Order: sequence, then C-alpha cells, then structure tokens
Amino acid sequence: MNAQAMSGEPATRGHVLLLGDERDPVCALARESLARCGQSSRLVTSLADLRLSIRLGDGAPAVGMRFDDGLSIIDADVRGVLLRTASGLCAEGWDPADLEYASAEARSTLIAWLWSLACPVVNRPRPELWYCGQASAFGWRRELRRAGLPLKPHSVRCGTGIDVRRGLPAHALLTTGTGAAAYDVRDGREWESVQRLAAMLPVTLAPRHGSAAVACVVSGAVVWARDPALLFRACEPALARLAAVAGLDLFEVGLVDVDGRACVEAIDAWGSLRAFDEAARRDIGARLARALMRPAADDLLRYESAYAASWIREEVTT
Amino acid sequence: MILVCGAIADTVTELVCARLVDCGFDFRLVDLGRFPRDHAMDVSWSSGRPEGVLAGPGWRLDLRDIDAVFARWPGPETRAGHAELEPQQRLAAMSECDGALMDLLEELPCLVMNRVAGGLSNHSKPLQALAIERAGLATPRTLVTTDPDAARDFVQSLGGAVIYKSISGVRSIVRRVGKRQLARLALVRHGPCQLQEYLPGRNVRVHTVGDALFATAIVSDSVDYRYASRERKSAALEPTDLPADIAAACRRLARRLGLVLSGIDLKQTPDGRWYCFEINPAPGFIYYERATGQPISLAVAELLQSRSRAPSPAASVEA
Repeated sequence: MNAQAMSGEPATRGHVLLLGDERDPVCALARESLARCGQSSRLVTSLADLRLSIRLGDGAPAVGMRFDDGLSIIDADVRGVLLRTASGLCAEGWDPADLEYASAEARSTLIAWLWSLACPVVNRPRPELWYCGQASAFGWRRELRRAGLPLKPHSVRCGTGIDVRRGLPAHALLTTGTGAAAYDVRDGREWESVQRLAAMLPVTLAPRHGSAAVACVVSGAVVWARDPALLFRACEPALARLAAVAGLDLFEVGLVDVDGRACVEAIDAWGSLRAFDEAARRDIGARLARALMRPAADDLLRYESAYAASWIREEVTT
Repeated sequence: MILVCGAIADTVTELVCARLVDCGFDFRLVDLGRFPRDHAMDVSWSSGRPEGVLAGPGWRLDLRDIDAVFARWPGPETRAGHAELEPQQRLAAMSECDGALMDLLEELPCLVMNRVAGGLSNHSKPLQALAIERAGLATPRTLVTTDPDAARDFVQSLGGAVIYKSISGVRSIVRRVGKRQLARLALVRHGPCQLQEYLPGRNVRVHTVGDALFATAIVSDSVDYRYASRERKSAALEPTDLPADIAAACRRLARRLGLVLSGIDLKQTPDGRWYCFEINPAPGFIYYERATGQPISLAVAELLQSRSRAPSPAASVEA
C-alpha cells in the first residue's frame, strides 16, 4: 500500500489529496498547513495507489476512487487536490517497449481525472502545461501578454545566413525553447559553437540581467522571497492577473530590471519555494491550505470560462 | 502573405500547396522536412509580439507581412534530419525546431490554421469528451479505469456491447471487447483502459473550415472504418447533411477549442440520435476529399486567402 493518510485523523470535511512525493517541500507544507486547519490529507504518489474510475457520457462526469486501505470515495468526497508531480504509472515491471504507451495513457487519464473534479485543484493543469511543460518563461508569452507583464527581451534564431550574435552583448545567455536550463555564452569559441548549433536548431539568446526578484503567487496573493524594489512591487496587480489568466493558484516568478522596466525572466508553475524563508513559507502554506479548502462551487467553470474566452477572443477571430 | 508550415512530403500539406497554386494564391512554404536547412528564422521578442523574419529558398518574409498560416506538424518519417546527429539528438533537434515555430505561430496576430494549444486536448480523449459535452454534443457512455471490477461491471451493464481504444493521442484501432479481452481485464490494475459503449449506426466525419462545414457519411461493416481494407471490409463515403443543431454544435466545439480547421467524428444511431467521439485538430481530410470530391482544400485555401492583403488573381484581373 502506497497511499497513506498523512494526518492520522479521518477527514470530517472531505478529503484533500496530495498528488506528489513525500519528499516534496510543497507537499509537506500543504500537509502541515492543512493539519493546522484540522483538515486531513492523503498522499497519492501515482495512479497505482488507487483504483480510479471516470464515467463519462451519462450526465455529469462521475469519479470513483478505491484505495488499498479500504477507503472508497467519489468525486463529491474530494475537497481539494494539490498536484505536484505528474507520475501516472509505477514503471516497475513494464516492458520498456510498452511503458511509453502506457505512460501516455496514464497521463491522459490523470488530466481527465483532474478536470472531472469540481473541487479546487492546485494547479488544475491546462493541456499546454500538462503536455508541453512550459518549463521556461518563454512558454508563457500569451498569458504574460494578456496579464500586461513584459517578458525579458530575447531572440530566437536558426538556419543559414543568420548571425546569432547580432545586437547582443558579448556576454549573453543561451537557452533552449523546451527547457529551463541556461548557459553563459562569453567568448569567441562559445559564440562559434552557438553559431554551429543554430544551423541545426533554433537557439534562444538573451542579454544577462541582474539577480531576479522572486515571488510566489498563491491564491492570487503575492509573497516575496525578499523585500523587493518598488519597481517589482508595482507588478503585484499584474502578477495577480497572470494567476487568473494562466489558471494558476500557485507559481513562482522571477522578475528582472531591464533598463528600468520590470520584466519576467522565469516562471515555475510547480514552485520549489527554495528561495523562501520559514516565515514566508508559513504564509504561503496558510494561503495554499485555504485555496485547497475553498468551496467547490464554480471552481471548474471559473477555469473553463477563462480558458475558452481567451481562445474565442484572441485566436479565432484575429 | 499566406504562410504554409508543413512538410511537402506530407500529402495533406502537399494538397493545400497544390490548391493554393491552382487558385493562384501566393504563399511561402516553410518545409518542415528540411527546416532549418535552406531556411532561416530571426525573431526578437522585445515587446508583446514577435518581430523579425522567416526565410526559405528564394524568399524572405517579414513577420508583419504574414496574414494567414496553415500549419501541420509531420512525424519524423518526413524529416531529412541532420545525418551527423545520433537518432535521439535528431529527435531532440526536431522537437526544438517545432517548438520554436509553434511558439511563433501562437503569437502571430493573424489567422492560424491551427495553433497548437487549441488541439492539445486531443492528447486525452476523456478530457476532450468533457469539452465535447459542454459544446452541446452527446458522447457515448465511457469508462476510463484502473479498476478491474468497475470494468467488468461496465461491460456487463451494456450487455457486452463495448469497444476499447486508446485514452491518449496515440492512435489505436478501435475494437470490440470479446472473450479474450474480458479474460485480461484484471490487468487494467496496472494501467488504465478506456471502454466505451458500442454504438451501431452511421459514422459521419465533419470537417470544419472556419464556419464552413463538410459532412461525410461513411457506411462500413468495420468497427473502425479507417482500417476497413486491412480487415477486408468495405467503407463507402458520401457527402451528407447535418441537422442544424448538430452543425451548430460542431462549429461551437471547434470555435471553443480555437480550431479553425477540425475533423469531428460523429455517429448517428438507428434511432436518430447523434454522438460525438472526438475532434481532431490536424485532420487528414485528403482521404475524404478524394473519396467524395468535397472541396475541403478549396475552403482551406479560400479562407487563408480571405485574410491575405495580397490581391487575389481575380481582383488583379478586375483592376
């Protein structure tokens, strides 16, 4: 049995499920904060921890969950879900040739499950986040634009006859489009390597900026890792808008000063809270617990309508 | 200017290009089979929208001059790739190339047929089923489960008239659940399966191109008509009409998902009810156009041209 009741007492007001790893600091923070509110929680490490059933096509979706310890619940019994890691399957015992397919099936089941629940899900993953990762801030351009937050200037270059260095300082940052890793490009030899790389795939290059001001946006409130400059604090309304348009109840963001303008350098939709001290974490935990225990009414519709409206307004009619 | 972003070795992209040529509509092709070889991309993001150029063999296009885009993302089989890279590196490079172009198309302020994000729900059929129902189309009774008992109960409740198919975007052949599958239901404990009531009746594929709609009826004795010939069965295709409410729901579904072009799979049961199985964001409409002569590629070309600021051949003649 992998699933475990984490606070000992049976839930009196529904179950909060923590989909993640017991070593994850955000899972631990949520567990502690929920317990302080008298709310039990249950860790689910993978789909293998429960027998899940989603029934569709006969009215509203109906979800059933049976755990190995005998607990059997339906969707109405779930008060909230914290999504941390998206492990669908336990890989052990699978033929490698089948594992890729089986994992895709499990991931697709998980996202359908999370969208079948009417209760709060932090964060209820939109398909872009679930399937594309949006690991770098560059994957959030549309949401940032809609929130009125500028992304730090950068260039994407590839192909023949392109000067990758044009308009950039001697010392720049190289990133890929699909990952969060960044590499310094400093000397002529490194620039030559980037030029060769650009013949095969697009390279994303940006000037270096000072250290980022890090904030955690939780349930629409902004908690800073350190007291920020006024330039960054002035972004708080826009950060709250970003949470709304991106459908994120919890995320971390890094802001940098680009010629006197606050620009987004990094977004982490999962949030590690590494940059935050104990007091800030307690604040985040309390807000997270409240988000997980808020009334279910209209929670799903809130996300859906924001999602659909963004497409209808912007993507089809333009 | 119209931009086509696809592999010329892909038959649907080839058909769209041929139709644009046939209509005399000017366009530029980013051939994903070769990109970035023979091509270039130089895009800067310093304000809200991208600025810069795309270039290909003999052409160079400022992003501001792109009025409409047809995009279709091919699999690795149509890509030349870089011979000097290992297979895994080649796949990673392909992913980076597609990702950069997809990101760009997401942010171009023009008609894009289709942006990627709108079609991502197709990676999870049950997630998509939720969107389909909310658009006003009925879906068949379906169970996605890792619970063998629930699976058995579901099959029994429908008298055994049940099919199974993939949950994810990985293509699978739809098959009836038989004795062999029933004997293996205990295995769903280790990985989820999707079971769905088998619906008798007539399959109808609907292609939406903006507000235009093409419905094709398929009469087949195969459970999955796409594979009828493989099973030595038949599939006959012919144009058909949809009830107004079903047509409106199809348009609504495509629009809500942000899909300018879509392929929607419907079934009309003998009692006259309509059900929707899924909406495909990258439909292979060439199969239906070839079989019926329905002018789907013409509608695609004309919708792209309708957004183009370049004068159409007819306008030039009139001038």
